[in-house]
Amino acid sequence: MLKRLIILNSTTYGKAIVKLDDSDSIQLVGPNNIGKSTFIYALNFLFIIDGKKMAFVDNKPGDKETVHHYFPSSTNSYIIFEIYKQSYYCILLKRNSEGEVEYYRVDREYSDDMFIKNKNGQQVVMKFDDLKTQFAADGIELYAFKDKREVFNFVYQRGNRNNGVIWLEDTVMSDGLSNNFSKVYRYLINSKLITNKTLKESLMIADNRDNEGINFSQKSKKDIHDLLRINEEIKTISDIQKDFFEFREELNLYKAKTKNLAELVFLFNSRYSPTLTELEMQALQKKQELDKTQFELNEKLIPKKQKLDREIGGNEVELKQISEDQLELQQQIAEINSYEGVQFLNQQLANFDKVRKDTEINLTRVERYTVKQIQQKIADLKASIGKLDAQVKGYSNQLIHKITANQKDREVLNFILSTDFSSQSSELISKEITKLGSLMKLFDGEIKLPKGLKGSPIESIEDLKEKLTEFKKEREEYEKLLPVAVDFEKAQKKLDEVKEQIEEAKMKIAKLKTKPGLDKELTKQNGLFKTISEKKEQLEKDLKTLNAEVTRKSNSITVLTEAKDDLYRRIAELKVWKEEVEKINIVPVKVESKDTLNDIYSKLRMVGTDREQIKSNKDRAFDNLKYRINSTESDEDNFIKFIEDEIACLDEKQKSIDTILQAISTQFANPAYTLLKRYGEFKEYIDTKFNNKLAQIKISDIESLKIVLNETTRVIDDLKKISSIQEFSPQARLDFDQSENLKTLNGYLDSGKKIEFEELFDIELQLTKGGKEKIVDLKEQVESTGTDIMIRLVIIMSVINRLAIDDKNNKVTITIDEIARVDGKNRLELFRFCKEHNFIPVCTSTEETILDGFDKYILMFRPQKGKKVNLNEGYPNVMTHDKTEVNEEA
Amino acid sequence: MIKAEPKTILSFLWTYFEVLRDLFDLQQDNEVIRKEAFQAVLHQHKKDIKLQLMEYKIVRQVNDDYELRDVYYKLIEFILFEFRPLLPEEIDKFGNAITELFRKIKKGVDSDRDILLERLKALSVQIKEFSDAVEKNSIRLLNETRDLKGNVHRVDYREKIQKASFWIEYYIIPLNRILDVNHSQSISNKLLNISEFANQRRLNYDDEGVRQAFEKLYHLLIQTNDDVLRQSKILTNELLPLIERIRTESQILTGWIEFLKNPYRVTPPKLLKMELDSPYSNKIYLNTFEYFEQFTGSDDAIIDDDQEETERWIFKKKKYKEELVKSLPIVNFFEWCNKQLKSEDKHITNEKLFALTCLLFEDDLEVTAYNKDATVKIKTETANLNVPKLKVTQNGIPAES
Repeated sequence: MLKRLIILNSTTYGKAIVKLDDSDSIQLVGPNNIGKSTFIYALNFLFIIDGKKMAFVDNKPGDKETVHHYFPSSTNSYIIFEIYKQSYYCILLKRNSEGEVEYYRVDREYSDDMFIKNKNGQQVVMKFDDLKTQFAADGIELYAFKDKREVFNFVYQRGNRNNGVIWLEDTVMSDGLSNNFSKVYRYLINSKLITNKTLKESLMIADNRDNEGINFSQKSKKDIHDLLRINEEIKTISDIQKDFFEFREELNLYKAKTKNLAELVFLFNSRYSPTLTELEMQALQKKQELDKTQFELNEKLIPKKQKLDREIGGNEVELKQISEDQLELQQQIAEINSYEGVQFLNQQLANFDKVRKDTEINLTRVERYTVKQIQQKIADLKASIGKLDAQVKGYSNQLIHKITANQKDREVLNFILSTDFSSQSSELISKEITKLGSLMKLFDGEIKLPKGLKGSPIESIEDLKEKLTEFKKEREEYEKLLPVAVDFEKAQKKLDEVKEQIEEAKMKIAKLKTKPGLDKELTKQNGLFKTISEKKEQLEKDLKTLNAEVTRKSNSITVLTEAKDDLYRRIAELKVWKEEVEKINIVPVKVESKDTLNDIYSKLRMVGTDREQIKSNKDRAFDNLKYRINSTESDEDNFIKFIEDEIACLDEKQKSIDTILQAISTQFANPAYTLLKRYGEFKEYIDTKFNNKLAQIKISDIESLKIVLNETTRVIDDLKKISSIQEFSPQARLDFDQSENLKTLNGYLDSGKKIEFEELFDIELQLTKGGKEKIVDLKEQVESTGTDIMIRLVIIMSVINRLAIDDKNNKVTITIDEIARVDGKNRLELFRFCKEHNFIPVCTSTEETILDGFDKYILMFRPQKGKKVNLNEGYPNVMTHDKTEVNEEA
Repeated sequence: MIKAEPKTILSFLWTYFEVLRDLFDLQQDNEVIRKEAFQAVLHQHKKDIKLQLMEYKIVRQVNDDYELRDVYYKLIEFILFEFRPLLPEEIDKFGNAITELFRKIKKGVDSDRDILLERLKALSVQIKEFSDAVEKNSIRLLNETRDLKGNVHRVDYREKIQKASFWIEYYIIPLNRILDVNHSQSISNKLLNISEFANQRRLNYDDEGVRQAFEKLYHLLIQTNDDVLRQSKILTNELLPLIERIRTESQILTGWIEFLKNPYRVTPPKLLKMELDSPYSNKIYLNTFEYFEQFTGSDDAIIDDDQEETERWIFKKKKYKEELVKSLPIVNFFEWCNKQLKSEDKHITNEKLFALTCLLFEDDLEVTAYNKDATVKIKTETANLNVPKLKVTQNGIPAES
């Protein structure tokens, strides 16, 4: 049993040692938040072990945070459980560097000096490495548990001949890191967890019923549906047999036709190539022949014919031209012969030309003058003539001629007396004339003569005479001009007539000159006409021959073209056949035959059409069958093999399905029936065994206590229905809708729900008070708070008591929070129960109140600020009673 | 009497296991090992061990032929997992034996204790053998079906269905009959009847030893029914897929089934196990703490000296009640409280006064009030309390007395 609980260097405690085996009940007294709960919940580490199932303050699991709370250091924080069974040993707990709790066993009782050493007058908790060294030196074995499972299997051992912390009854079942004891014990570490549900659960655990139930897995439902589906498939296979056999026949026929067709394809292919080659050769020859003829016709004969045509045409044109030329020559010669002689014509020409010239001059001059101007001119000229005539006559009396004898001087003077001199520069004036007189000596003036002065010449008489003659001539001309100016158009007309006459004369003269040439030309043309006519006749003869040749060649081209086209048509036809045959997409099968290509093709067409027809029927049948059996098989042979197999296996499959369906129905009916039986057995356990024990307990004014199980009618009825299912019939699909039993099962299968044992019943408490029985719902508080707590604790302890061996050396430490809620009398009753059943209650209260009835009080004092709580197993923390005083009840 | 040491025999079994296996195969096929075959096996292995086989009582002579003794036959059968399938009739045999034993147990339940215990033991043996027989049949079937599922031998579909159908008939029908709770004579029903009986007796039989025997029997029965039911489920799961047309020519499936047949032949690769911790996980602080803790030397954990405890007032109910009872009758309860506390300590606090108040609720005290306005003033360190004037007397005893 657990003798001492020691906590070293936790977050709350420096050192806490509490002796648990020297008293029957213990109260931890101390202010709030000092670590009372921390201390008692440390029991989780020894008795629950599985961190997830541990329950600390506020039902917190044994997670990393909790572990760090108890073991802030991985090197020198410990919890030690000192145990005595067959011998003393300690279970030492520490945290590793990964936050996991490690368990060790030390086979000796606890003493401070094993874990605490004195260092400079201070008590220091030893580090784990030092501890190991120390243990080794002292010959103390420190056994490390391999894992939590090993710890669990060591703590809980069946029978009383072992060193387990708890000796369990043989009936206790383990399941991994839990067993019936540990499942229920957690409620005795943390009594706040005791609810109606957990009470019920504890009762089931007490009789190993917590794992009972029926699982309606989706797998079962799937199995049933699979079987029904297979059954449906069998039925379908059975239904389609007739159609299937027809399809198989159709397929065989199709295969035969396909083979036939494959042979024909082979024959066709084997004939096709040589035939095609031969036809192509023939066609090529025809084409070459045709090309040759065509070439000859187009390139030789026709051009030749065209040339002849052109030559003949040319000759004809030439002859016509020559005839016309001859005629023209003859006409020209006749005309020339009618002309005057050349001499006469030349004279006539000269005459006409003179007239023309005169007329043209007059006409030209008259254009510059009006009639009046001419008349004025004539008058002016008459005056000038008279003047000049006078000058000639008085020439020697003129001043200039007489002024000086020197000709040169006369000329100088002639200059000086002219206006040219007066227009000279005034700078030449040396002395200005001041006074004019009647005699000119240039007066008193002096004028410089320009340097290089040349005199002005003086007209001679000859000049004057000549000038006179010219004036006269000019006057005559103007006088001739005058009539022209008066009637210009008449003069013009006269000019034109003269010009025509000139031209005519010229033309006649020219023609007279060409006459010998014309005669010669005419003779030549006559000869030429004869030559060409003979040539043309020859050409016409050649053309006739050529035309006959062209006609013959043209006719042969038509024949050749038709022959060639026929060959090409055949080739094209064969190619179309070939395409058709290739489209059949079939592997040819070798065969011998003497049939012609045409025969083969016509057979091929016929067989192909038949095959297509059969294929269509067969495919339709195949699709239909596939649809009916819901198959996606695309290979017909596989499909046939499949259906044949299925048909062959029909009976055996049907039998198998019936048997498996029966097995599945048994797999539901049997556990349902068994569960009902188990419930009956559990009820018996509660009624006879458990309630017997409860009946002996006296709580408050309650005379007797009994657990009553109330069946959950709905679930029990469902189980009865399911257990009555005899067998699924192949028509179960329908039955599911009709049979009440199957409908019930189906409901559970649909939801995939499990019927847990706890669903079969609810618990109530039957109290006898003042001789009267009373049923109390455990979901509500039973009587007063204290009574309620006590009843629940007692029920749980009764369960535990059935699981642990009832032995003084197998006392179980339990913890009760807020014990003050249980009044004094009930408290004493509770402690009596604990003592009788080997429980050691360690209680706490929210108040710093020492309550009566405990054997031992552990006083927990608040430490100085910043320090940890220390708890000694003696002075100053422990307060005990005298045993005589405890017997207050008496 | 076998002269050889047990370890020698076991060593012999280990050394010549191949020979024994061949002999086992022969006996499995022909029920006995023909003399010629026996010699041929020894000759083939070049092992002249006939003498030891006889001396260690592994083999015995049956007329001219030989057979492995039952215990060795079963041992080899078990370790090879090559069980002979039991006929439905053989299984029925267990049902009859169980029924007969149960009948006798019921009849003699209150008679001789030792006979009862013997019968209970015999019944347990029969039930265990029955359960074993069912399990062996299942194991044998599983071996065969796995071969078929993996289709190692490339079995044709029809043959597969025929085999499946045969197995279903051979294995499931008997199991259905065993488990049929709607048939009163089914083994399952018989076991349930026994379990009902055992349950009653395990709860209320007077003799502890017999009670425990019934308890064991009861749990055995529960387990047996569960086991047989589980076998039925296993067989259903195993055989149902066989009647479906599944493609079993899968290399992966074949390989997997081969692996399942002997999963320890090779060590399979370990599957990766990953643990992710996000930086915002609530564990991150402690994980980080643990990480750095590795590199930091931990401080010494010094246990502080127990400080000198200042005098603490604790409500010792028993002591105060005794004082109260001595002072009965008390005319003014709160006045008494005041005096009582003053006598111990000058400091009167609300807490102390209120704690004493709970004495008023003791069952053996009677509390009586005076007039309505009879109140008393009590001065504490922090308050002036107006409290009722209460008279306290012994419950049921007149104050005057």
